[in-house]
Amino acid sequence: MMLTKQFTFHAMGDHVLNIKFEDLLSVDINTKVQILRKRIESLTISGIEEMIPTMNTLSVIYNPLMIDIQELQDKIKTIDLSDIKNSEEEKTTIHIPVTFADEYAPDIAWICSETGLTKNEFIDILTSKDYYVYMIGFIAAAPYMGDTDERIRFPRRKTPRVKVKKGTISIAEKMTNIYTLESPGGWHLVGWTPIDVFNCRKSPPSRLKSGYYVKYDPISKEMAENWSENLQSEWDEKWHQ
Amino acid sequence: MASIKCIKPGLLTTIQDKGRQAYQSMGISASGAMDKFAMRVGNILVGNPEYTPVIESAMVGPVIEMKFEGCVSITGANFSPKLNGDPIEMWKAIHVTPGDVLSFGRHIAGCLTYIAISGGLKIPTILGSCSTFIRGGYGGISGRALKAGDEIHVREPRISYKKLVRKKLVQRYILDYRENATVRFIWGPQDDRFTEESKEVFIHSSYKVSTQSDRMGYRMQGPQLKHVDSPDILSDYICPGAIQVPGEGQPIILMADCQMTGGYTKIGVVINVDFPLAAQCKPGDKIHFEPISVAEAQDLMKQRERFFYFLNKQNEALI
Repeated sequence: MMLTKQFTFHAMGDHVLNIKFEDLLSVDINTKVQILRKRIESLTISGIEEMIPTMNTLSVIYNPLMIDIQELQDKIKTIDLSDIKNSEEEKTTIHIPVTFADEYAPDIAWICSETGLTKNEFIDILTSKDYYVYMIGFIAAAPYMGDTDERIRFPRRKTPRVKVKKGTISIAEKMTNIYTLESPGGWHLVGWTPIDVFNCRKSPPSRLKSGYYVKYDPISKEMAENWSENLQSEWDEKWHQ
Repeated sequence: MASIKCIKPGLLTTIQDKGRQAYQSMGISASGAMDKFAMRVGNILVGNPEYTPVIESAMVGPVIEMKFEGCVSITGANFSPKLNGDPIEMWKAIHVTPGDVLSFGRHIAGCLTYIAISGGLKIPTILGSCSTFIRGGYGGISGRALKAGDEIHVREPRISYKKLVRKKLVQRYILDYRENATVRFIWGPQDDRFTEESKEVFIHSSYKVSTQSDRMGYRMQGPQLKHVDSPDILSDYICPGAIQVPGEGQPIILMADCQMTGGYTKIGVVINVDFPLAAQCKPGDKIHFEPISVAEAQDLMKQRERFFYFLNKQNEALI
């Protein structure tokens, strides 16, 4: 079948099937991952327990007592993705308020000295575009977003920091990320958001989903430090209605 | 009110259940009991649904005072459990009354012991599970390990302990936790990224569990594995049991609290029925990895689930 060439199947142990697209980090390929997930969902195949989209792979967790791996592959093979247009997905953009005050952005000074950019130029570059959420992952809904401007791409730090504050905005290579928990980290720290991107007590726990877009909007340090439920509702009313 | 009280916490004692499988698609680590065989049997012995929250304790068991009448079972690793100082049998429902003290002694075998309580522990559910996730700071008791003084309420049991006392698992079904374990795995999804020589080395050697091992992953030490080109891939899903090999060529078995995405090649994945055997290896123990096919692994999984089906059925008759 010609259609199967768009993705390949790989067993991951005895109860996960990986469906892998081309080895490229691209919005087009990731969009296919998202759409394939929706189309498999619409087939309501019994025996599928979870579907986990990542950058260029969809992992299907299945119950081998309910469905055979070959039967599962045969059903998925019938899905045709050749008709996908990028406009098929409605674009959702989440605005994230970010302070770039020095104490929340310890690596901007280094970036400026590496690139010759001024701090304001760096902030303009970082906040002038929106970022596609390729994947929600790691341990607690960390959003992997891109692509950042070529002028602000750097390898990860050689020595990771032991502790990075929750809400910290970071960059590395062509990606940007938000630390959803306090944790060690090797990315460059360039800002901080007061909003809860991840809250284990909310349903759903993450404000972001893969396939969404994220836009960083600069706010003052004072506003960030005094962020409140009122400000949050005003913000959501302004951007996310 | 019926409860248990922690007198001494042991080395690392947490509340665990099935985990957060259903939230992995939202980027949440699965967590849950490392040895689900021991957890499930333990719960069934005391009359509970098999995924009721239990106490999981690593290497050094806790001291726990019972403040209820019912039964408990100790399954998993053997740390010489005692009730009021007298040795008690493992994999068996043990009658307890208020004031009884459960403690542990000499380490005999395994790494993780499980305490199931009839009725089950009353723990709030976070993201669909009661499992403690220390790195995330949520689940269990305020996202942390048990400490002295913690008191946890015990729910009303669905089956009276009178019908359960002396119920035990037949000896031949008890898992054999060994210092030299053979753990079966399935090649892939990125085994083609390793040299043929390295793949041969991997299945013909033993790897030692390093001291830098925890609920996130067991780091292994042994013959170095070589990648064909690079150890990196575009980040994809990691399931517990995946054997990841970073650049330095030493494998890491990802465990219950592992990150759910990652960018290193995975040479193979431990099969579902052998995951408990790997989890029960303590630092210093050795693992020999043996490849099997998906079909063989699934047949073993079906046998295992049939076993649990019949165990559960016996309880249903008692309700």
